Amino acid sequence: MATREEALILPALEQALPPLWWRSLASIGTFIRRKPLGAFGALVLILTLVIAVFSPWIARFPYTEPHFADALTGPNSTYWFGTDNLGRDFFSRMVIGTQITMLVGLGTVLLSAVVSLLVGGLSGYYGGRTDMIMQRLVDVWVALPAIFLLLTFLAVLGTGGTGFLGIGRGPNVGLNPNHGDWAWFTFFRSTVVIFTLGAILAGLGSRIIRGAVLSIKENPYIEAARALGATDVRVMLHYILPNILPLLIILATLNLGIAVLAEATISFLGFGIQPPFPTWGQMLARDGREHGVGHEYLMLIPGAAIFICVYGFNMLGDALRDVLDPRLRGFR
Amino acid sequence: MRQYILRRALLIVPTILGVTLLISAILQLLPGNVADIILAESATFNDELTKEQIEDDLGLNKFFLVQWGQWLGGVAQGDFGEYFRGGKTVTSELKARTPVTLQLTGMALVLSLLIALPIGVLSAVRQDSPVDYVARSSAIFMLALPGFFLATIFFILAGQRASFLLPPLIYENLWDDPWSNLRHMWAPAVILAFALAGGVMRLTRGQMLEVLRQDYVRTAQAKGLRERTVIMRHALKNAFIPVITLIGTQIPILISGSVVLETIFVLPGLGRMLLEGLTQREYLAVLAVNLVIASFIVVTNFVVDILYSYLDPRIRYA
Repeated sequence: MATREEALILPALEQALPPLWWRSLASIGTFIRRKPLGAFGALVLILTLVIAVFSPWIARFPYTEPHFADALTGPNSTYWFGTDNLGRDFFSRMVIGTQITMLVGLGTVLLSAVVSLLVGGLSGYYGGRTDMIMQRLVDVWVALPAIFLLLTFLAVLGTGGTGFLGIGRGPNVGLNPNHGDWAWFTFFRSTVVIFTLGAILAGLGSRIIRGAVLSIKENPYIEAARALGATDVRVMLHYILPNILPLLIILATLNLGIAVLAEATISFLGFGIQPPFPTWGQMLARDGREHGVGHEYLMLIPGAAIFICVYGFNMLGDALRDVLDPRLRGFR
Repeated sequence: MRQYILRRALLIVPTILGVTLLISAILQLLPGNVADIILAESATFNDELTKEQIEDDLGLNKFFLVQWGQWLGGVAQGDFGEYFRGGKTVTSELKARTPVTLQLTGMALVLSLLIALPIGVLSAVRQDSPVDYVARSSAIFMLALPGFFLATIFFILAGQRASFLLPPLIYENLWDDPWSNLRHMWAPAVILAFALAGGVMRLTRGQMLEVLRQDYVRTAQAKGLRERTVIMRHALKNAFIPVITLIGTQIPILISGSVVLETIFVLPGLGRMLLEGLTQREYLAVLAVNLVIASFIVVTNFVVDILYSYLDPRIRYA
């Protein structure tokens, strides 16, 4: 990729600059100093991810193991977060539940990023009739509040089998597909949530991407590239995509907070991942709401976990937006 | 401008039709329909009934486009169809439930504006003061606090310490028993307003800061107008224009929130109607709720866009 001039200049530049690892460390340091709340959000994200990945080892008891004698005991040295009405260790259930939060959160963000890039990118780049048709379809798609489509899709897809998108049979994992330390066993159920949430967020995201593509398209360097004989694919991948990347990262981070909140909401309403596999929203509804009187920890712990994640991811998104592309302030 | 309005207005109908077509297509995939439920219920006293008979009777065996077309024909005449079971009509159910959701979202909207606008303006005028810091951090808190969490806290705490705050067991309409109705409504309205207030507060502050930096504000200050006059007469009007758009975009959030809160507070609104329709496989009810909500959102978006360019003549639509 490097031109002849770059080949001549680059070695000289590299000598003058401190090494790459030092520069990246320094820029992370600047980010932490300038945006402490954003750094807090990044910390929350990393911690949640680590907890989710290592949850079977962090959990102190199997998450379905009942201890009837200790039912509804408050937090103590054995049960760090207390126990629920069946005497199951609340800490272990919270830790295992992190898997769903992260699986659905990251899966949704990834899917919506890809789809909104495709839809928004093509719509904005080609314009004309393609754009017109696609935008009318997006109009329909975003005319309803997300939760309506979400609940309808979940009612349709979620009640069926255990397979991909809830259709057909998934891998044979024993009598109850919800058992096992890993959310892998419920992965096929979470695909329903990921698919729907991802598709819904992509509708809104594609609008933003389309707008960005429309304005980037007008730049002289695009025209120059075309004049030099670059194909559409090359223009999109080499000239437009790099310019959209910051926007995509910001959008993804902000969507992460929305996705976590939405997953918790549908779990709370009983439409999400089914028990006995725990999710935070489900625990808040089934333990916190039903047994919370006198056992407030049952509602405060899952609620606080959801709040901290959503708050942290929002802060991270805001901070990234300020750093990467301050013009986007207030687009949401 | 007139052309723009006309073009936007023409798009309203296809969009709403598209929504109902989309929903009825999705509902076709729903495993198990209402015929299965009726069959299971009637098994004890009528074992000659078959699934085909029931489907035939309810018109469920026709191609879904035909079902959709027939339903639309009815809707055009003000008839949203009947519930498959229980003999209620969807129309009467809509009539009974729409006011509940409207009241809840309306109360929440007014409440959130009452909280957010003054605080947002104050926080911009006193930028970087303690007031500003408190307002800003509480706004971000409000945005991240889920409504269902607040509602759970409310129920658990009020149930233990202040049971007079709890909603009455039976929901009464506003015009039947205003006092009982308000006792039921105030808590979900406040919780819903909370989620909204954060966003409105942030945007109001941002817009106000922007406007306060403008030349005409400096001119107003320079000619010796009182601070109060500058803010009230010159700054506020311009800062509020984008806030109106935000309110337009917040309506879906309001409605989503009301689905959750209606469920928790057992309010007979549209959100509950949707959830019940989905679990009972009452397609027509689900379709009707979607139609009403989609029309509401599409029309408000349209009105807000038009209002926006009317209030701010600098904005031109091609």
